[in-house]
Amino acid sequence: MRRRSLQSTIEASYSLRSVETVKHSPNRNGRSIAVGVTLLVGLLLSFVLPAVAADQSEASNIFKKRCSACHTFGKGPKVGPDLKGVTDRRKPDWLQKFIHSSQSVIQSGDPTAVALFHQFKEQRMPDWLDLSPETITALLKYFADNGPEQKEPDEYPAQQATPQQIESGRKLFYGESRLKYGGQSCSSCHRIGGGMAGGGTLGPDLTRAYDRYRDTALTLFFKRPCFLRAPEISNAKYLDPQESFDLKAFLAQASGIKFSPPAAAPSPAPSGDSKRGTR
Amino acid sequence: MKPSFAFTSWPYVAFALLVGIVFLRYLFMRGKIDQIDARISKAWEIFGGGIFWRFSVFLLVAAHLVGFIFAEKIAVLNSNIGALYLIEGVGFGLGVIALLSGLRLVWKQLGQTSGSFMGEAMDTMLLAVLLVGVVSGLLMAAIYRWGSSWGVAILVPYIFTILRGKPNSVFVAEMPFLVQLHVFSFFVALAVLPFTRLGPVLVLAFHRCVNLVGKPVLAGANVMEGWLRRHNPGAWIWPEED
Repeated sequence: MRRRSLQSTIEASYSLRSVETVKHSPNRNGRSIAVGVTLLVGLLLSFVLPAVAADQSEASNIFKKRCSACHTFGKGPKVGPDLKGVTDRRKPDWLQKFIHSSQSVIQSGDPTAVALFHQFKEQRMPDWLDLSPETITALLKYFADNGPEQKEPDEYPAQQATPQQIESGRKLFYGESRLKYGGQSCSSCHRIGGGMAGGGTLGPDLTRAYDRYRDTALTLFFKRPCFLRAPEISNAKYLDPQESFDLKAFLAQASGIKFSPPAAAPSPAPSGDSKRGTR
Repeated sequence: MKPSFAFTSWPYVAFALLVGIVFLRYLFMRGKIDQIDARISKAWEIFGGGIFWRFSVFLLVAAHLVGFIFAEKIAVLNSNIGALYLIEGVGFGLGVIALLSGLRLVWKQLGQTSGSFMGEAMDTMLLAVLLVGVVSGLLMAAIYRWGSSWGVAILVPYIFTILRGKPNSVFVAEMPFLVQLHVFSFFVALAVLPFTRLGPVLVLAFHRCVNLVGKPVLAGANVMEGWLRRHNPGAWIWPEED
């Protein structure tokens, strides 16, 4: 039911634009076609939009808003079971059904669901009928990727960077790759080493910056721009955490820091695709 | 001078002086606009200089305008190191030409005296301010290189805050002295300009604008007057007077 109402909301929000289009179209008899197209677009959007939006940050928000009141992640059972390792304990199909409507699964007599129901003092878990299968899949991926315990890429020490991440940092520094939120490259104002190709001279030389400030200070420093400038003044966002990590890695290399061989890096190495997607 | 005044209020004072003085001079000169050509040729003699001066100043002003209007495009273009070198190199070359030809112009100017003391002083002041702008620009390019990159992120938004009527001096206040001097000299030049013997050029431009706007307004007024005469609305308003 809720799914249908969501669909109708999306249809309604897009129907105005479609009607506008019809008004200007030469075929004024095509009202029924327009309605059909609107419904089709609405139907398509109801499937496409959740898939696009269902990213890791949304999963994190869902966990905070809907799950954390009754579940912990790695801190033992609360009102419901601990969700750490839930994707290893249960099959994805079962989890999909259970999250969507735990009541139906329990009423169907599923032994695992019934056992859980009795184990946790017959507390009813709300049905999340508004969550699309794509959103639940993203939520399960979030649990599988260590849930709320996973770190942002920029929280890892730069010494764990791979050569690809250092190269990505170099490109960002010199403006060969554009920053995600449209900011100016570092080399507009800063330089690494001597020579004109090293960058600008308005700001300080960053050759020894990593040596001087290290990970924690640089990570904090990269949270906001050094000068008041565009486009950051009109955009709350500055550096993506992965960009921040890559730049830190490049600065670490410029300082002459020795990197741990990537193969020896700890298991949750900031690969960039665990949290933000590889650029 | 405090940066908060120099970069918050002064730009508006400079603009008000530019507009106000040009308007005042127009009021005084509007009866003898036909005599303005002689004054303009005198101004041309003083400020026209040689071909190098004219072209370098024109191109520098145009380059600043392009950087201001197409800031984002310039930022993207500068990510190519070849384009960055070209833009900065051409800018620096034009600056050097403007400096040398400007010095020659000032040298020539210092040897001559004509007109009122006030006019002479203002002309010299404008030339001095222009040279300060050129020298500070050249030093900026040499000491704080890649101004075409950082300028579009820091100085262009500052100018936009002025145009929007909400000046934010923090953009410039955090910059080195040379950058502040370069920006400040631009506003001083704006303020001094109408007092110089270049003023009549602005007055003529203003006069032409007034004519351009005035003609359709006058035509409209004539049409309206004809209509009023034909239909005599007084008869409808005060019929008892007929």
